[in-house]
Amino acid sequence: MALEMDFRFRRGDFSLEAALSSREKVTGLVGPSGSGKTTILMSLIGILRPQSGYIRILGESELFCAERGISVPIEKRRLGVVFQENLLFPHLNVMDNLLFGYRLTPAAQRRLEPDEIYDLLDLRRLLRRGAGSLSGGEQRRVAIGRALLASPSMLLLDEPLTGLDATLRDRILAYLLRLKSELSIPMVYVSHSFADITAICDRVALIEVEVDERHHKHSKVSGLKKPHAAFADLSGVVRAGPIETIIEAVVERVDKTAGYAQVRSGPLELFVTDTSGSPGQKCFVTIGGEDIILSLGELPRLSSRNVWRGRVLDLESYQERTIVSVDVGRQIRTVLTVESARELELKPGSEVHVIVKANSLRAVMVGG
Amino acid sequence: MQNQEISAILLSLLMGVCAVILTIVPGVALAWLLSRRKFPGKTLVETVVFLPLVIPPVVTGYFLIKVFSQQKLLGSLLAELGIRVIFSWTGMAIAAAVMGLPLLVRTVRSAFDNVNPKLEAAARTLGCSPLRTFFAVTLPLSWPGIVAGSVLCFARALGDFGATAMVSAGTEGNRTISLEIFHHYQSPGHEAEVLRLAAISLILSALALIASEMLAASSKTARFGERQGG
Repeated sequence: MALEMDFRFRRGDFSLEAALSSREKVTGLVGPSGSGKTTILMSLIGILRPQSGYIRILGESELFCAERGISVPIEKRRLGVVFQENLLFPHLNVMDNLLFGYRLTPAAQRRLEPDEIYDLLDLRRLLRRGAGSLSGGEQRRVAIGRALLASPSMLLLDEPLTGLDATLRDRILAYLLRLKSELSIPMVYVSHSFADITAICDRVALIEVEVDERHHKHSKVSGLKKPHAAFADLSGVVRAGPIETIIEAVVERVDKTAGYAQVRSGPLELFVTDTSGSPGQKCFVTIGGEDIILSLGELPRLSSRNVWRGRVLDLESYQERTIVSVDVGRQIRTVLTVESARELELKPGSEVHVIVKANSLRAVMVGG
Repeated sequence: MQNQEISAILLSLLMGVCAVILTIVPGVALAWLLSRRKFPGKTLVETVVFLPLVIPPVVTGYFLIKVFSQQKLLGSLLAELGIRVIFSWTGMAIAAAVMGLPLLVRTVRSAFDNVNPKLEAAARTLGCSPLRTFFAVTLPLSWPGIVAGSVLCFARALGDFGATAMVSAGTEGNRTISLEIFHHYQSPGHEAEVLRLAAISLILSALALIASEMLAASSKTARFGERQGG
C-alpha cells in the first residue's frame, strides 16, 4: 500500500503544491502552523477539492484526479481519520461511537473486529459510558478505535498527541506504536512536534513555506526524509522536543519497601520507581534519550539498576548532537554530544553498555 | 361549557396539530438549507419564509385569500379536486401553518447552526452518506430544537387571530378559541364565556411550553448521557 499524490490547491493568497509518494508504514507530514498541513489532510479526506493533480492510494481506486474529473465522495474513500478535536458523537455512547463506521462497512470489507480493537486500545471498561463523560485521553483512544473499525485502507492522524499532558501523551503514543507494530494499516501522521514525529514516523515529508513580496504564501511539500534529517532542516521552525523510546512491558515484581518495580519487555528487564502496578499488569515505559549513559568495556560497580548490554545499530547527527540507536533486546535511542560520540568511536556494530537510573524511566500502568 | 366553546377548543387544537403536520417536513428541510447551504436567492427565500413574522396577520390572511380564491389558478385547481380552502377549516389550517412556519424554521435553523459541521464530516469519513449523516448525526443532535420549534409553531397556530379570521370569516363552526373570544366579546353579557375561553387558551399554551421543555430535557439526558468527571 502506498500513498501517491501530486496536486495544487489555491485559495485567496495561499497556494500549496503537494507532491509526495510514500510506501512507509508511518509517513510524517510536518510543517509550521499555517503551512497547509490541514489543507493536505482535508484534500485527502475529500472535504477540499484541489484545482489540479491527483491523489491515489496504490491498491485502491484513484481518490482524486482533476484531469479526469474524478473525486471520490468522502464516505467512499475509506480513509480513517483521527481529528485533533476527536469529534466523538455526543449523542451516542462509546460503543455506538466505536461501531458507527463498522456497522456501515460491508462484512466482506471488514478487516478488524471490535474485540480486537477493544483489547488493543483497552476500551472495554469504557463501552457503556457516554461520549461526553470521557477524559481527553479516553476520547482520543475511542476516536482512534472508531476510525480503525471502519477498516480504512489508511489512517490519517491529525496532531494526535497535541493538547495531552505528558503522562497521557506517553500513553497514547504507546498505543499508536502498538498499532504500528500489530496492524498492517499505513498511517499519515500530521504534527509539528519533533518528539512525536521521531518516536513514530519512518519517513517525514516537510512542508516549506515562502512568503513573496505581495505577501502571498506558497507552501510546498518536499521529498521524504528520515525524521532527524528532516528536523535538522527545519530547526527553529518546528517545536523541538525530547528524543525518547517507549517500550511496552509487563510488571513482574513490585517491591514497595525498596521502592521499585521490575518490569519485562521480551528479553529486556527494566527497573522503574513506579510501584503502583501489580504483577501481570501491562505498562509502557518511556526512556528519555538524554538520560542514558553509554559505556564501552568492562563496568565498575554502579548504583544504577538498569544496565543492559547492547549493540549500536545506527548513528544520525541532529543539530549539535548524535542520536545513537542501540539494540538491547529492544531498540532504544540515546542522545550524545557529537564530541562524546566521536571520543567513544561509536559505529554500527559497536558493543556498549547502556545505563539508566530507575527514576529516569517514566512508567505508565495500563488497565488494572 | 357550551357546544360552541367545545368546538372552538377542538378546532384550535386541530389547527395547531395541522400546522405542525403541514410544516414539520418542509420546515426542517428549509432550516437545513438555510443553515448549511449557500445558493442563489437564499435571501429571497429567507424573506418570504420570515415575512409572516413581521407583517400584520390580517395582511397574510388577505394574501392567502387571493392565492386560494376559486377565481385564481391554485384555488380553481383545488376546487376541481373538491377541496375548498376559503371559509373552511382547510384554509384555516393553511393560514395557521403559514403563521407558524417562520417560528419553526427559525428555531430549527439555529439548532442546526449549533451542530458542529465537523461532526458531520467525521461521520462521512466513517462511510456515512450525506442523507444518512443527516439522520444519524444532525437530526438527533438538533432534536431539542426541532421539538421546541414544533411547539412554538403549534402555539402560534393555536393563538392566531388575524390570518385565520380573514380566511374563515369567523362564521359559526369555523371559529377557533381566539375567534370565539372575539365573537363573545362583541356581544354584551358574555363575560363568563370570554373569561373561560381565555383561561383555557392560557392553560393550553402553558401546557405546550411545559411539554416542550420536558421533551427537550429528557431527549438531552437520553442522548447525551450524564456528564461525569474523568
